[in-house]
Amino acid sequence: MKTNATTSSVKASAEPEAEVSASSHSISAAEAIFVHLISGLGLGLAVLLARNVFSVNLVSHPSLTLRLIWVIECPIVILLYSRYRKNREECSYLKAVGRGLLGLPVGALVNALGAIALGTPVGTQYFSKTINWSLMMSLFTIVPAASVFGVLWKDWQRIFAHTKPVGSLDLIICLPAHGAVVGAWFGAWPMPLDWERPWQEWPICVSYGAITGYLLAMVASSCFVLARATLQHVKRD
Amino acid sequence: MASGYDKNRDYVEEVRLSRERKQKEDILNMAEAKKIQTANKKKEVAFKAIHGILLACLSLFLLLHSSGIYLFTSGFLLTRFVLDHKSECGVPPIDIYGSHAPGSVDSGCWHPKKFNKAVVIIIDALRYDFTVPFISSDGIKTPQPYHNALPFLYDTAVAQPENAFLLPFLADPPTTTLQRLKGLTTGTLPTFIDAGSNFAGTAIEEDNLIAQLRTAGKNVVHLGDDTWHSLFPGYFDMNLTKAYDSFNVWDLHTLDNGVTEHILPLLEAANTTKWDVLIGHYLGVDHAGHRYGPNHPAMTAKLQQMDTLLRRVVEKIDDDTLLVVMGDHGMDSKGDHGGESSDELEAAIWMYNKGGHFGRGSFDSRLPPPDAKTRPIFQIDLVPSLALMLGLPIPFNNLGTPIIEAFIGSSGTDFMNLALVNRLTAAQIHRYQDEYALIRKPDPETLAIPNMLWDAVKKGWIIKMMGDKPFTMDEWQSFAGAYAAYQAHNLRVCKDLWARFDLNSMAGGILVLFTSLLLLAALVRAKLDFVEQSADLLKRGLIGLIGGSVVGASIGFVFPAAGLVRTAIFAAAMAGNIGLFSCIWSLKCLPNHLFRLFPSSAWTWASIVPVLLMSIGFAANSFTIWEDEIVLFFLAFFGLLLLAGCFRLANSRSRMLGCFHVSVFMIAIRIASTSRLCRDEQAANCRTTFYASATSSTSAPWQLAICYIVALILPSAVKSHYRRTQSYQGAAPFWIGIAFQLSTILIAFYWTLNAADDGDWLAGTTLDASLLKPIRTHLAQFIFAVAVGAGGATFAYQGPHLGVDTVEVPVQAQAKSPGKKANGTPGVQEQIETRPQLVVHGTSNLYGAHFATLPITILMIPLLLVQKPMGQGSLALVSVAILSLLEVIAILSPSTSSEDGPVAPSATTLQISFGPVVLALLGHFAFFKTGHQGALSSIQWDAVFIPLKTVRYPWSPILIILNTFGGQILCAACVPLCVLWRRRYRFSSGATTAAGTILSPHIKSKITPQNPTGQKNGEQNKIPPRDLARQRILSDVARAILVHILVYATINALTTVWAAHLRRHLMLYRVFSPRWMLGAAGLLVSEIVAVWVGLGGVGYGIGSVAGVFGWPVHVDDMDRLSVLRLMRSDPCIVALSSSLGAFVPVASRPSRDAFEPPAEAMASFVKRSETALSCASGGRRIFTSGSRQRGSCRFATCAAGMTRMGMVCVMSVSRSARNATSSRLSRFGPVCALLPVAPVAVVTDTSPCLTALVCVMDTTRAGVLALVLVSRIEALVTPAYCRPGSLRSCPVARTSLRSTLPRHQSTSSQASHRLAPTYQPFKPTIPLLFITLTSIGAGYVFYDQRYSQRGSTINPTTFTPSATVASREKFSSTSSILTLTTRFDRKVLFDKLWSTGIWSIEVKQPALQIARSYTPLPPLDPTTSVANTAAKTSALAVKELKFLVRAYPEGEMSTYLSRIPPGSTVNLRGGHMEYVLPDEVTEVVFLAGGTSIAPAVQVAHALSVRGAAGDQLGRDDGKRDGSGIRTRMTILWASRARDDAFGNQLPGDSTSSRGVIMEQLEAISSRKGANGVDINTQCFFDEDKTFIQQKDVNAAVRGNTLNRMQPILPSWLSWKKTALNDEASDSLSPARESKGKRLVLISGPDGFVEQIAGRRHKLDGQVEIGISRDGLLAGIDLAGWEVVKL
Repeated sequence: MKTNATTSSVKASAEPEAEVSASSHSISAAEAIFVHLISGLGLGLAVLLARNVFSVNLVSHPSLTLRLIWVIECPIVILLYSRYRKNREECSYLKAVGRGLLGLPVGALVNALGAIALGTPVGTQYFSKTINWSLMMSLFTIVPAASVFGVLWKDWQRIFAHTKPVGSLDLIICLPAHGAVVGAWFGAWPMPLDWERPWQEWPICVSYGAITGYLLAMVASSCFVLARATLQHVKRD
Repeated sequence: MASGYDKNRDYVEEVRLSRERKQKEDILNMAEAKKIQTANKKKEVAFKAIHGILLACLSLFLLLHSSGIYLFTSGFLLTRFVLDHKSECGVPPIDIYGSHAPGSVDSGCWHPKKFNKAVVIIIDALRYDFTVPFISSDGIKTPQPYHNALPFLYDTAVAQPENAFLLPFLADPPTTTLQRLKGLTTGTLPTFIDAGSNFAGTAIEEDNLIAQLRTAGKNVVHLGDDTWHSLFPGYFDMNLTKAYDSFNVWDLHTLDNGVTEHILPLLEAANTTKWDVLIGHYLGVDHAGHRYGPNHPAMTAKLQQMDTLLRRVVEKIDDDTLLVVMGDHGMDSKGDHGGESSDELEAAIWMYNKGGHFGRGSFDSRLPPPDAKTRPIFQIDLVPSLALMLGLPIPFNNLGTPIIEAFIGSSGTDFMNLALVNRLTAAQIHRYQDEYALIRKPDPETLAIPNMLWDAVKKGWIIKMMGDKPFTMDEWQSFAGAYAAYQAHNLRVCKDLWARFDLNSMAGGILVLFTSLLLLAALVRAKLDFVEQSADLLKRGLIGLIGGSVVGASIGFVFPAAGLVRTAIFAAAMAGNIGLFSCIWSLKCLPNHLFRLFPSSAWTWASIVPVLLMSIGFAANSFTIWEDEIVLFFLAFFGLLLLAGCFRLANSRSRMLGCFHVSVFMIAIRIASTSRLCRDEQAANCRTTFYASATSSTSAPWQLAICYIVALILPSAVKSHYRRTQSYQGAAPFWIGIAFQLSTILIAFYWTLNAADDGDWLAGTTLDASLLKPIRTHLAQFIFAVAVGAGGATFAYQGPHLGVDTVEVPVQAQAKSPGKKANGTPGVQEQIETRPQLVVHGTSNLYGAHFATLPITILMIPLLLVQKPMGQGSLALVSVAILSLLEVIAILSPSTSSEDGPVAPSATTLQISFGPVVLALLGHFAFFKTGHQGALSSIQWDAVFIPLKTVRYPWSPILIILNTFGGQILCAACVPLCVLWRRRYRFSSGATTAAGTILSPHIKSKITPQNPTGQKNGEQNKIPPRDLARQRILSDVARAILVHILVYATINALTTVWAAHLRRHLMLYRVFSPRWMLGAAGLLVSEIVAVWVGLGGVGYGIGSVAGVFGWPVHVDDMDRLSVLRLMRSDPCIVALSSSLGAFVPVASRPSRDAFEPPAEAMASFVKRSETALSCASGGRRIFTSGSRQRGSCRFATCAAGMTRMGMVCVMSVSRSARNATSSRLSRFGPVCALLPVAPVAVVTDTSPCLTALVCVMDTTRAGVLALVLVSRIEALVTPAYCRPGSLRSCPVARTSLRSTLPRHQSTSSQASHRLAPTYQPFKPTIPLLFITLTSIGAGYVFYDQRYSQRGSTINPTTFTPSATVASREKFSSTSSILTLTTRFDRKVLFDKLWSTGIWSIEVKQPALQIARSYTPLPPLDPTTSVANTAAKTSALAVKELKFLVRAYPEGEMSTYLSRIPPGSTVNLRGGHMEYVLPDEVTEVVFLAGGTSIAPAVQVAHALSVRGAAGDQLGRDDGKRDGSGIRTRMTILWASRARDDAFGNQLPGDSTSSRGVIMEQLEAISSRKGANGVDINTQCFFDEDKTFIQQKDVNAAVRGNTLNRMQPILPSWLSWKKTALNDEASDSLSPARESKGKRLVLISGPDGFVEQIAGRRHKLDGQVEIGISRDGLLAGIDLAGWEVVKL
C-alpha cells in the first residue's frame, strides 16, 4: 500500500536487463532476406493487383487499396513469421499463427489510437480508411512481433521501448516496424501544404510514407543481417 | 481503534507535560534563541536578495526582447491615421477662379467637367513594358513573349495624340491588389494598419472616388474581381454588376470571359443609359503571370486577347465617354507581385476619348515614354484627374496631382486649366494636412518645406489677383508648376512617414533578436548555477545596457539621420547582450569543445527538433495556416515519446502509472483539439466548432454544458492530484475544495446568464431581461475578486501543505526497517508493543503542491472566466494535461523518486528542457483551441465586456490579453512545476513513505511542541534541511523558465525573419505578418508570466517552506555569496534590481511559528498582516533598506479594497475574540464585521430593484471573502502540521479552536481512520472521467452525424456546404447521374424555378476553388397526376437534386464530381436562372449536345408543370381556354456514343430500359391533358455516323419528324408511342401556330452550338436570343421561330 510507484520506479529501473541474448535465437541471413523478400513481394503483388485487376489505386480508392494490401499481406506475414516463433517446444506453429491473427486487430487498435492522437480526423467518412490503414500498419509493426514473441513482455520492451534488437530475428522485426512508423510520421508532412493534390488527404500520403519506410527498413535490415553474418563468419575463421 | 485512541490521549498528555517542562528550559535559553533568530533573519534577507536579483536578471531578457521587437516593428509596421472627412461638392478647398459656380454635379463640382461617363478597365498586373514596342536592352536582346502583344495602346497614343495618351503608372508598395485598389480610389498611400479603421472589415471607410460617384448620384457598375465588393460593399448597381472569385489563380479565362461578355453589351448604344461609370477588372494577365510567369506563350495569348478586347471597346464607346485602361501593379520576373521591385511597381495607364481632349505638355512628350523610368506618373494621380474630369470633388485624403496630359488641352498650351486644377488639388491636400495635423501632431520640421512652398505660392497668387493685369501664359505655367511642386514635396513627406519599410531598423531588430536568442541558448547550455552567478550576470548586463544606451545616444546625436531613440535602443540591446555573454565567457562554463555544444540527451533532441521544424515551417504559408493541426501533431508526438519512455521503466507499477498519465495527457489534448476556429484560408477542409456555426460568433446553447462539466471535473481532478501526494492539507481543502469549486460553478452560471441574454431566453417570461446584464457584470467582478483578492491572499500567506499525524510503530521492528512497518494500518496496532510516532504528510510534494495552487487554481479562475464555453473546455483539458505531464515527468525523472543518499537531487533533462518545451507548445496549442488563430480577425473583443460595462484602461487590454493568450499564460506559469512537482523534501533521518516522512524516535523530541524553535534553527539541530537542494531549486527553476522562453524566442526570431524576407509575398498581410505579431506578443506575454509569476511565486513557495524549516542560506556561506558582496559594494545595482523584479517578497510574512500559543500567534499575525497590508496598499519594502516605493504594487480593481477592508475587519474582530469568553462572537464576528463592506460597492444604479440585487451580490461577495479569510486564519492559527484529522493530538488547536471550528470536531472522530496515509489513485475522478469521455464521445458522434445536415441552406449568393452526395449511378461509360441530398430553407424552394425555364446550380470544387454550373434534372415522378404535380415537385425538391455529369478525363471539376464519395458534402450556390421560357410557348425544337440534354428535360418539365399552372390560371381569370392544347417539343439529341443517351444497357435487354433520361422524357410526354407535352426525341450518335443535318432540323421545325425515327433507332429502342405522335402531328392547327411562341433552343458544347447555329456570343446573362444565325440554321427558314443559344 505504501510503496508509491514513483519511489520504486528507480529501484526497478536499476534492475539488470533481462538476459536477452540467451532467450533469443537468430536465424540465418538467407532466411531473413527471404522473409523480407516475400513480404516485399506480397506488398508489390497487392499494389499490382490493385492497379491492374481492380483498376484502383491509393489515390482514387484509398480504402479499397489498403484493404487489398492488408488482405494479401496478412497471410504472408503471419505464416512467414510464425515459422520463427520462440519457445518452439511450448508453442506450436498453429498457436503462433493464432497469436498473429489476434495481434492483427490489437495492433490495429494501437495504431489507430496513435494516429487519432496525432490528428487523424474521426468523422464517420474516414472510418473505413482509418481501419484499413491501421490494419496495414498492424501487419507492418505488431503482427510479426506477436507471432514470434507472443506475450513475452521482455522481448516487446526490448524491441519497441529500448529499440535494442539482439540477433537477426530481432532485427528483422524491429527495423521494418520502426521504419513503417517513422515513414508514416514523415509521410504526414506534406498534408498541410497547399498544393491541393488529392493524395494529400488522410491516409494516402501517410500510407505512402509508411510503405516507403517499411520497404527501406527491410532493405536496411537485410543489409544489417548480411553484414552481421559476414562478420560472424570472419570471426569464426 | 479504541486502544489507539486512548494511547493517543496518553501521548498527548505526555506531550503536554514535557512541553511545560521544556518551556521552562527555554526561558533559560532565551538568549540563545535570540541569537538564532537574528541569524535566521539574516538568512531570510540573504535569500530574498538572491531571489530579487535572479528576478531582475531574468527580466533583462524581457528588456532585450522588447527592444528587438520594438526596433523591428518600427521599421516594419507603418501606421497612418485615417480621417473620416468627406469632400463635398459645394465646399471647394479654395476660392474658385473665374466664372465657374461650384456645387453642381452637372456642370462639375469644383471645376468644369469634361466627361459624363467613364469606362475604367483595370488589367491586373499590366506592366508598362507589355504595352510599348520592344527595345533591345542589355539584359534582353530579343523580344520576349510579353513584348509587342498589346500594341493597341501605344499605336493609338502615337497616331491620335489628342485622343489618347499612354504613360507609366507607378504603384506604391505593397503591390497587392487590395492595397492598390485602396490607393487608386482614395488617392492615399495605404499602410499595414490604417489606424482608426476597423480591424475586422476590409471596407474602405475614408473618402474615395466610388463614394463620391455614389454621392453624386452616378450609377456605378462593376464587373470582375470581387475584391471590389469587399472594399465597396453596396456601392454598385447590383443588377448589372457581376463579381467573380479572384483567388483562383489557376483559372486564366473564366473571369476574363465573364467580364467581356458583360461589358460589351453594356457599351451598346441602347444600354449606355443604364450606367454612368463602368469598371471592369480583368485578372487573366495576373493569373497567367502567377501560373506561368510573364515569359510564356500563355501571356502572349492573354495580352493579345486584351488587345482585341480594347479594340472592340474603343469601337463601341461614344464621344462623351472617357476610357481609362490601367494596370494596378506590375509583376516581377516570376510573375508574382506584392513587393516593391521596379518591375512590380511599373504599371501602365492609357486614357482614350474620341472628343480630342488630350494633349502633350511639351514636344518631348509627344511619344509615349519608351520605358517606365521616363516621365512616370503616380497611381494616386488618377484620383484627382478622374474626379475633376467627371466633375466630382477630389476625395478628401487625396495626395495625387492631376495628370498633365489630361488637362493641358489638345493644343498643349492650356496652362490656365492646368494651373487651376493643380491649384484645387494642392488646396485640397493642404486642407487635408491641416486636419491631419490637428489629430496627429507631426514633427514641425517634416512639413517645413511643403508648408514653405504653399505659403510662397499662396502669396504669389494673392499678389497676382490684387493686380489688374491678366495672367500671361508663362504665369499660368509657373503657377501650375508651383502647385505641382507643393504636391510633390508633400507626397514625399507622406511617403517617408507611411509607406516605406525601414530596412535598417528591421535589420537592427532582427540582429538584436538573434543575438539574444544565441545568448539564451548559450545560457541554457552553460553549466552555471544561476543563484551563484545571477548577481554577476545582472551587473554585467546592466553595465552593458546602460553603457550601450549612452554610446548609442551619442552616436544618434552626432548623426541625426540614424535616429536618436533607435540607435540608443539598438546599441543598448547589443551591449547588454555582449555584457551578459561576457559573464558566461569569463566563467568558462560553456563546453570547451564545439562538438559538446550539441546536446547528448535524447530528450533534449526530442525537444529541440520539433521546435526548429515548426519555426522553419513558418516560412511556408500553408504550414502557418495549418499550424493548429501541426502543433497537435507535435504534442501527440511528444506524448508518444513519453509513452515509449514509460515503457522503458522496469518497475511495472510506475510503468502502469506513467502510461496512465500519458494516456490522460494525450486524450485530453485530442479532445481539446476538436475545438476549432477555422481561418479563411482553411475553409475548404475545416469546420468551425468553436462557435455555434461558421458564420456565428456566439456559442451554441449546448456548449454551456461544457462550463458545467468543467466545474464538475476540474476541481476534483486537481484535488485528486493533491491527494496522491498527501498534499491536500493546510489551505488546500478550503481553497481547492470550496473556493475554486465555487468559482468554477459561478463561471458556468455567468456564461448561462450570458447565453440567456444573447439568446433572449427571458423573452417569454415575466422576468426583466434588462437585469441580466448588470447581474452578470457583477457576477464576473465577484469572480475576479475571489481570484485576485482571496486567491492572491491565499497564495501569499499559505503555509506549506503539510500535515502531522501520529502513527503507532512497533518498537522492535522500528530499528530494522522503519519504512516498511510504518504502514499505519489498524493491523499494526495488534503488535505487542507499539509507540506513537509523528509522521509528516506531504513532504513528497512540498514545493510543487504549494506553487501549483497559483497557476492551476488561482490564475485559472480569471482565465476560465474570460473564455467562451468551448475555450473553457479546452483550457480545463489543457490544465488536466499539464498535471498529467508533470506526473509523467516526475515518474520518469529518477532524481525525484530516489530515496537514497543525502545528496542534493539535480534536475533531469526531462524536467529542465523537455518539460518546459512541451509546456510551450501546449500553451500555443491552447491558444488555438480557445478560439484564436494567427489572424487579427480572430481576436475576441467582446471579452472586454465580461466584467466591465465600458472600455476602461488599463483593464480592457489586460482582459483581451487574458482571453487571447490564456493558454500561453497558463502554461508559462506552470513552468516551475516541471522542476518542483514531486520534489521531495528530505529529512536527514527518518523514513520516507509514500507521501509522508516518519521521524525516527530521537528526532521526535526535536520536532514536537516541546521545542518551538526546533523548526526555525533547523541546521543547528539534527534536522538540517538540504540547503543546497533548495538553492538549486531556484537555479533549476530559472533554467526551466529560460528554456521555456527560448522556445518562444526561437519562434519569434524566425517568424520575424520570414516576415522581413517575405515582405513582397502575396500573403504577407494575410499570413506572415499576423504570425509574426502573434510570435512577438506570445514571447512577451509568456516571458512576463514565466518570470514574474513563475519565478516570483517560487520565491513565495520557498519562503513559505523556509518559515517552517529554516532559510536555505548558510550563515557561514553568506560571505561566500557574491550577492552580499555586491550588496555591500554596489547599492545602486541592488536598487535597480529591486525595481526590475517587481514582486520581491515582502519581508513580513505571517507567522508560521505554529506552536506558539494562540494568542501570541494571533498578535503576531495581526502585526505582520498590518505590515503586509500597508505594503499592499501601495508601499513596498525593499529588503535592504526597508524604504518604500509608492505605487508599483497594487491589487487589482475592487478586489484589493475588498480584501483589505475585510482583513482589517477580521483582524479587529479577531483581536477582540482573543479576549472574549464567548466563542459565539468569534464565530459570527467576521461575518458581521464584513457587512459594512456591502454598501461600499453599491454602484449608482437608480433602480431600487437593481440596488437591492447589487446589495445581495456584494453581501455574498463579502460573505465569501469572510469565509476565505476565516480559513486563512484557520490555516495560520492552526499549526500547519496539525491536521484537522489529528486535532486531538495537537494541544494548541484543541484548546483554542474547538469553538470556532466545529467542523473539525466532527471530523476528528474519524481521526484514527484517517491516520493511514493511503494511496488514492483518482478515486472519484475515474468514473467521472469515464462518464464525461463517453458522453463527449457520444455527443461528438451525434454532432458529426448531425453536421452533415447542418450548415446554411443553399442560396444564390454564397457557396454553402448545403448538400451531401446521396448516390452516383453510372449512366453510361462517360457520364453518371449524381444525386445530391440538400437541405433547403423554406424560402428557397425551387418550385418557381422549375416552372420558369432553364436554371442551374453552381458546384464548387473546394480544392481548386473552381465553380461550374450544372443543370439539375427535374424530379422523376412518372405517376404524378395533374393536380399535384407542383406539390410533389416541391416535396421532392426539398430532398434531392439530380445532375447528369460527364467525366472528362482532364476536367478538374468533373473528375472531382466523379470521385467524390457518397456521404461527403458539396458546396452549392444557386439556383441561377439561365433562361426564362416565354409565356405561351407552343412549340419547341431543342437541339442538345451531350449532357446538355438536361436543360431539354428541364424545358419539357417546365412546360408540363406550367401547362397545369397555366390551365389553372386560365380557369381562374377566364381568359384562357383550358382546352388542353399540348405543347409540342422536338428534341434532337446528338451524343458521341449510343450509351451516352440510353445508359449502358446491353442491346436486347428485355427490360428495354432506355436510360433515365429517356424514361423521364417519356413520362413527361405521357402525362395526360393540358400539362402533357408531346415530346419527340431523335437521337444522333457520332459512333453511328449520324449527325444532325439541315433536313432534320427542317423536319423538326415543320413538325414532320416521324420518318426520321425508324432508321436511327433500332427496333428495341422504338419506344415512342405512335399514337401520341399521331395525335401531336394532328393537333398542329393553325390556331396554335398563330398563338404562342415557337422556340429553337440550342444547347451543348461550344463546338456543337457553333456547328448548328454559329458562334455563341454571350450577352447579358447566359443566353443569346435571335442574333447571328450561322451554321446549320442559316439555311433554314425560321420565320416565326425564335432561336436561343443557351
